[in-house]
Formats: sequence, C-alpha cells, structure tokens
Amino acid sequence: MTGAAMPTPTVSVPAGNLAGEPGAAERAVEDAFLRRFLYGTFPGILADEAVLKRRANLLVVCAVLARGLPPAKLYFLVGYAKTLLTHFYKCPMRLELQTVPAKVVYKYL
Amino acid sequence: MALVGGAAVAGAGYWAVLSRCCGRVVVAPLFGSAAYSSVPALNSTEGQQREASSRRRGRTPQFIRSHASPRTEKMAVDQDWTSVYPTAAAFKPASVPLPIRMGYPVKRGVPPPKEGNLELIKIPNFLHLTPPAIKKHCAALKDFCTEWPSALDSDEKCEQHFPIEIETVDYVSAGTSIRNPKARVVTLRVKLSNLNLDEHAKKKLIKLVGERYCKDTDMLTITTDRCPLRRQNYDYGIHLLTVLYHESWKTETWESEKSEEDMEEYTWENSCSQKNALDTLLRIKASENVSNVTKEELLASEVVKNYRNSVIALKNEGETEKNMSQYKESVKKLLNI
Repeated sequence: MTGAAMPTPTVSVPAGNLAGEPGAAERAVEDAFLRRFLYGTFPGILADEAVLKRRANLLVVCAVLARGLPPAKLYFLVGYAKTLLTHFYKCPMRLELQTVPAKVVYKYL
Repeated sequence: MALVGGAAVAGAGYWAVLSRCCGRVVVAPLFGSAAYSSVPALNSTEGQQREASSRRRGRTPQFIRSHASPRTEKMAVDQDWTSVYPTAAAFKPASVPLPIRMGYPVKRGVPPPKEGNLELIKIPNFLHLTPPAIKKHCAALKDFCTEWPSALDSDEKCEQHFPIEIETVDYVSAGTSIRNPKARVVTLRVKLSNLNLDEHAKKKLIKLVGERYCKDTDMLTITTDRCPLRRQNYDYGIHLLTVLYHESWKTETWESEKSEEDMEEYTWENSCSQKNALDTLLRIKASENVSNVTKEELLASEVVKNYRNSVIALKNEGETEKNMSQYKESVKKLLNI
C-alpha cells in the first residue's frame, strides 16, 4: 500500500495571500527556494515536506527528519542552513526539527 | 535513500529493519569512533530541536544504544510551563506531555499519534499563551502603562474635549517589508454641533462638503489619501477643515442670488403658496363685502397659521398620513367648508 504524499504546506499567516495584499509573489518564490535548499541540505533524511511559517519578519521552518545522520553532522547542517538563509533573506530564521525513526505515512490509499 | 527503500516494502514492520540495514551500509564508512564522544555534548547543549528523542547511532547490529526517552517522561506535573514554551513555537511532540492524536484515522482505527505528525505542526498553537504566561506578560507590561485620565470618565466628556476624531490604519504582514501603501489614508470625523457655526455658515458648509456630511449623525467625515505620507495627509485634512470653517463664515456677493431651488428646506414666507392663500382669502372677503382686512391680520389669523404649518410639514417631511390629514383639515378651515 502506498502512502499519500502531503501537498507542500506553507502557513503564511495572515497577509501575503489575502486578495490585494502585496508580497504574495515574493513569498512564493522564497518558499520554492527554501524547499529546494532543504532538500539538498538534508540529503535523503527529510521524512516529509517542510512546513514554512512566517511570523511578521520571522521565518520558521519546521522539518521532520529521519535518523540517518549522527547528531554532530546534523548540528552542523542546521547551523549552516540557518546562517545562510538569514543572510540570504535578511530576516531572522528559526529551524525547528523533529526526528522520527521511520517515515510517518499520512494516509494509506 | 533509507526512506525510498523503506517505502517500497509493504508493512511498517520491515521499515525499521531496512532503514537500519541501509543506514549501516551508507553511513558506516563516514563514521568515526569520535561520534560516540559527542553524545554527552548532545545532552548538555540546549536545543529544542534536539529533543533527545531516540537518536539511533547503531553502527554495528550487536551494539545498539538505548534510545534516550523524550523529555515528556521527565516532566514534573507542577513544572513551570512558561519556560517550556516561552514564545510562539511549533508543536514539539517530545516537549508536550499530552497524548494528542490528529489527522485522518487509520482504517478502523484512530488518528495518527503526535510523533512526526505534520498536521499538528502546521496549525498554530497557543501553548505559549496559558493563563499563567499571560499573567506574567501583564505584570511585565504594567510598568509601561499609565492610568486613564480620571476627568474623562464618559463619552460626552471625551467628545467635548476632543471633538475631532482621527482614524488611521497600520498594516502588518508576514514578510520582510513593513511598507504598505494603504497605510497613508487618514479619516477625520467631527460633529458640526461642536463647531462654532451660525445658520448661514452651517448651510454653506453643508453645501460645500456635499456627500461627506451625514445628516442623521450630524457628522462631517473627511478622508484624505492624496499625499504619499500619513503625516502629510493628516496635515492636509486639518487644513481642509480650517478652510471650510472660514469660508462658510464669509458671505460672498453672489450668495444674494440664492434662489428658491437652492434652498435646503421649504420656507413659507414669500412663497407662491403664501401668495395664493392670501389672494384667495382677500377675494373671499371682498365677495362677502367684509371691510378691508389687511394682510397682516390675515397672516396672524389662526386658520392661515394652520395652513402654513401643514404646508411646511408636507414639503419638508414628505407625504405621510398625518401630514395629509393635517393639510386637509387646514384647507377646510381656510375655505370655511
């Protein structure tokens, strides 16, 4: 049985995606880049699509990882991702991670 | 790579084994024994991301470290929750000691548990806003607050001292820019009864502003957005109010040409209705051969006054049952029917 994949979740509260509000396009481009960046930075251990949240200027990336790397390497990757992204986007950035033993299936089809 | 291998096989039971095998194959060459020495460092560093929930470091199958238990198992019941979630943060299953399930239920089963549950991460949570946390916030903010002035204890007093209301809107959005062009709009509201205007000035002001005056609430509303900055729009609004006030007090020479169509409400004096009524009455009196009754006497008489009031009511308030019957009565009395 295959599990259904989740659609890419971006929780941008509130503006941006409201009708007539500026900045929706910029946020969408940022989100696309962030997903590719995370997919490359955590090679093979991203268990699920990352959830991107924005709180005013703060960018919060919540990712669920599988346990495939030793913690030292994970720490390095986290620091690398955070520093690089804060410098790219000129905004504070938080990376909230969770590790799971196995990939969690959303729904069996 | 471990995930792909795991997904290809049905049944969750095999996943852990396969991922273990793949992990061993791939990761082992990269490992050094130094990896184990970093473990004590792991536990001592703070890091909400490192939940200490089972980091598996299985290098060889015969040596499998015991998984560190999640923090929830070590939490006291009366702990200080505000230090677990001091600010808004995503849901961390190993930090929240609640057995929450969320999502689409497994067939003939329950919704999935909280570990790795993306649905719980997606939604905003208010774990950082428990009542004790809010009490702490209020206590911290109290130092920056001042009392409301005791002299302004009612709406009327506020209106009396501050008759002009200014309305501006600030916009907050998620993103790196705080600019929003809609923030430059300024709305001024003032009641005309608070302005020092006489009859002529009030009528002239209402004619000048047109739609911006609401008759029911006696409120003049000026909305300015033609300048790029809020401060400029505010200054322009105040300037407009000042100009309107001064202009309405002035009387121009051409204002004497105000005709009956320009009048805001109906006045009976010098109207055709008055002329017709007086005309009719004089003719009646003449045909009855009564001595010359003067215009002033006629005007002062009761029946003419009634007629005048009913006509004014009809013209100003529109046709209602009451007005029409009043008019009928006054006409009957006037013509002695």
